[in-house]
Amino acid sequence: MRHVLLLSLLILSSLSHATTYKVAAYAWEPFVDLKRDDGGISIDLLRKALQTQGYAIELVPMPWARSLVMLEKGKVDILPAVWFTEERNKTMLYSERYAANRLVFIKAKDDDYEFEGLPSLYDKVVGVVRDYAYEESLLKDNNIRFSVADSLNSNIKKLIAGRVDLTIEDEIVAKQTIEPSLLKEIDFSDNALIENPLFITCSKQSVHCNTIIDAFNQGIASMQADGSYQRYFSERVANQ
Amino acid sequence: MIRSGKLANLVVCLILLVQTIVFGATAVYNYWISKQTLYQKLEENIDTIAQRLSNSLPLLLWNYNTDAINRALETEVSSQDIDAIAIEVDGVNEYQVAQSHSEKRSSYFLSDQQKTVMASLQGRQINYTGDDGNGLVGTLYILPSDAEVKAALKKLANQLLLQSLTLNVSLAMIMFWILYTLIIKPINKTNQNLKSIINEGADLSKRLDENNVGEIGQLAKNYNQLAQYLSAMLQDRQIALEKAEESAKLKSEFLASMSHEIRTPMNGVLGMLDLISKGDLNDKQLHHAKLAKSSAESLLVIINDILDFSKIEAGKLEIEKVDFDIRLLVESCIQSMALRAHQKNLELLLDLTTLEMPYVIGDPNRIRQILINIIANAIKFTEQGTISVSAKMLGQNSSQIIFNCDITDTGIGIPESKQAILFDAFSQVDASTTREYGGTGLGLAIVNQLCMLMDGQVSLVSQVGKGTCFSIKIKLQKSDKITNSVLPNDLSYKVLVIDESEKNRQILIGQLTHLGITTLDVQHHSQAIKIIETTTDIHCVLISSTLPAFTDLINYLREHRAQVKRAVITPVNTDIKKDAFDFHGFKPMITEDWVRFIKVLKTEPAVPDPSEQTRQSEPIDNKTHILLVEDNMINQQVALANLEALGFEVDIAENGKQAIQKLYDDQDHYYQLILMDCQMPEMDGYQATQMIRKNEADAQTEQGTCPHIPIIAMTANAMKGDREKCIAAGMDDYLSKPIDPEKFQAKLSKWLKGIPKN
Repeated sequence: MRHVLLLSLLILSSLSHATTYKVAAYAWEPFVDLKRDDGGISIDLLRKALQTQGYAIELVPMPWARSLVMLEKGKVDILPAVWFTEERNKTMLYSERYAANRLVFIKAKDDDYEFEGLPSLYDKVVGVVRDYAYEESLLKDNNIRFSVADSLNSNIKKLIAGRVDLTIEDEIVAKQTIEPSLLKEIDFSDNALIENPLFITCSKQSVHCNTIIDAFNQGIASMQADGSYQRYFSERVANQ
Repeated sequence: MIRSGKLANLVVCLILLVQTIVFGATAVYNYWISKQTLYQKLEENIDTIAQRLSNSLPLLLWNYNTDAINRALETEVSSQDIDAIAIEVDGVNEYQVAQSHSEKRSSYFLSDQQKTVMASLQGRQINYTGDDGNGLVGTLYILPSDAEVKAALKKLANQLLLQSLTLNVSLAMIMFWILYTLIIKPINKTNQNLKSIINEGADLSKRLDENNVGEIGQLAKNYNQLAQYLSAMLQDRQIALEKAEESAKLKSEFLASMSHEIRTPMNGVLGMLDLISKGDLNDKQLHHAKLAKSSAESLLVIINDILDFSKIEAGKLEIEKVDFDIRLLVESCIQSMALRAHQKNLELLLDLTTLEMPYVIGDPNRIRQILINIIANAIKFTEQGTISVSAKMLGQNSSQIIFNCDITDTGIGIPESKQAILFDAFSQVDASTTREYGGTGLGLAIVNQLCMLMDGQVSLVSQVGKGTCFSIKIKLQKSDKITNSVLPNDLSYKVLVIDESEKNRQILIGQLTHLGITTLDVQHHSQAIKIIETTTDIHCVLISSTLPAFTDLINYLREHRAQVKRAVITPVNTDIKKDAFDFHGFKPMITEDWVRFIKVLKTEPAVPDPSEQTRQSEPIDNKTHILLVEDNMINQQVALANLEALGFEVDIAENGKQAIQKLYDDQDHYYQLILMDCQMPEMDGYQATQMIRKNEADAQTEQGTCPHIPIIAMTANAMKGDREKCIAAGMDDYLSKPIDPEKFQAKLSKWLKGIPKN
């Protein structure tokens, strides 16, 4: 009888005060961006997804390297945007993918070009940003002609002006970075040069690990189910 | 090489002590300060490093940039000042780097000890503040290493020690050198000079350097002045001493000349008085002349005493060392004093029975002087009774013997209070004594001094009214000269001794027993007759002439016992009919008398020896010719009178030249003896004697034979050395003026013996 009472008290308290998880907030715009109120796309999504499940998050700012240690030490509960590696998979529990980093080719709105491997670039002039690290095989391929500019926007302007055929950028970053007026004049290739899905992870040592990952997966699933996920992307990512 | 005395050692020790304290304290202080500074610096270095790490670490820790952190820590830990660094994150030493001592690389592991020490340290919190967050990223612990500091301190300690030592020693040496040069050396020098003054016969020639600083210079100056002063004083003293010696010499010479000057006229006075008394005088005149002679003799004695005393005082009197017969000496002294004693009706006893070893080495003349002095004194102060002289040898050792002679009188005695000063010069028992007995009071002083000169002493035992016993002890040397005892000890006769005096009897019996003779003794003539009648084997009777009924006894013997030998001893001043006796001797009996006595014993009885003569009547051949060499008229007369009285024929030469001439003329050896004065005009006695001896030697070589004529010197120079001088010149004997007839006769007898009679 007493046990029942204690349990119900616990449930009550958890209902009235939503459980808060600490999220390592390492700067990685536009996914984690502490200058923004929503904390960046990943943070925003994470918060929204967990909120559906009744959890709250607290941001703990720190650098990326530190976040890995902090997660391991249990000082933070969640890393909000992580690529998959086998190494990390050993210690971390990955959620379902909720977004991806896709290095795609940007083309003029009316261009029907589709990236089909490097040979599909042989007759194109590709605008690149000085000192950016792209796929190595791309830059070493002598059959491709590159035009170097100082920024993505310079390349976008060259693209619109027809001085380059293509330029390369992360799809989400590009949508966040490119001026909205110019964004209307361009389009993205469907195939990506490189695609890296994004996950949240928890430390497998954490007792809350499965709870968090399950909550997040369910949160994302419910958001996809009610269309708020797609809406978020089309609104939050494309329209700033 | 520095010769340091106690002061130098003390100074060195004190300097070293003070310096050790000062340098030691300084070194300790320096060490302490350096230690503080070094540890402070270490702390500062640690702080600097901590500060540097605090700047670089937050971001690295924030980013968990392990490589960079380790690199940073490694860089810092390579500093000598750090032993280990650790960063604690969330209670765990996340990063730790320790100083590696074996390799160049730092070690990432702390030892347990380091961890323990580390835990006790105060950590420094490292906070990160940045755009991407903030917070405590770790706690920094730095474990300082004082190995470097310790090494530095050790090095410093060694350095300080070495420095202190070097400074100490060199400063001590410098200070010592300064002190030594400025103070100790001059003082040592002064000391040495003073020592050379004290030890090495006052070497005052050395001077000190006055240029030294201050008090030392003053000391040197004062020393120099002192030395100069002493030197001057010594010189003065030397001069004074020379003057004194000169004066003493002059005094001595004066004494000699005085002695000559006084003796010469005294000789004249005595000689002339002698001649006067032998001339044709009435009784009164004779009496006056005798008194005058006696006075003159007394004066001569006094002069001799003063002269002797002066000589002793001046240290001029030296003790001879010659072989002589001590027995003969004592006997001759006794003999010469016998008359004086007998004239006063005193018995003079002599006991030499136990005086063996007659020959000794010593100064016979001085011993004679002592004996004569004491005996004369005894006679002088004794009115009645006996003077007995007994001599013996004491304590013989290998080379030395002690001659002991006791002279006992029955005189007035000497009060005890006066005995102590008796031997001092110019002292007599009291002034009244001088008035009654006369004398200079020098006699005993001279005796005392002479005894001391001969390593001996004179002592006395006396009782007022009973008499005095003087005892002399003199050290003599044994002589190599061995004489068979002239007296036998194996005579088997029986002798009856008749004498009133118990003591006399004892002495006679002692001597007779010593000869091996059996003795009987009686005191009175009646007892004697009784014994003579009852005892048949009496060989001889020895009778003292002082015995009452002496003549009766003699007559009895002549009539009834003619075969018993009659021997009589008389005082010297007693005359007896000689033909009534077999033997006549004078009291006291001396060896010579005993020899004659034994001879009488041995001869067949009752035949009187017609040739038996007494000593005094022993004749000198009156036809003997003597050459007298004398320049002084008075002395000539005195000597002439003496010689003629003895029956000699005398020729006179007035100087050496005349004497040689007379000898030259005398080819028949007419002269048998020469009496030679020493100091004469033309040619003195020494030269003359040398010539005579030379002529004799020449004659010897030419003719093969030439008799040696005895030359006896006569001189008024009574000083030591005269005798040697005479003998050296070739003379045979020596007589000092004024001429004493007795000695004169004795000398002549001695030298004329054995000369064939003309």
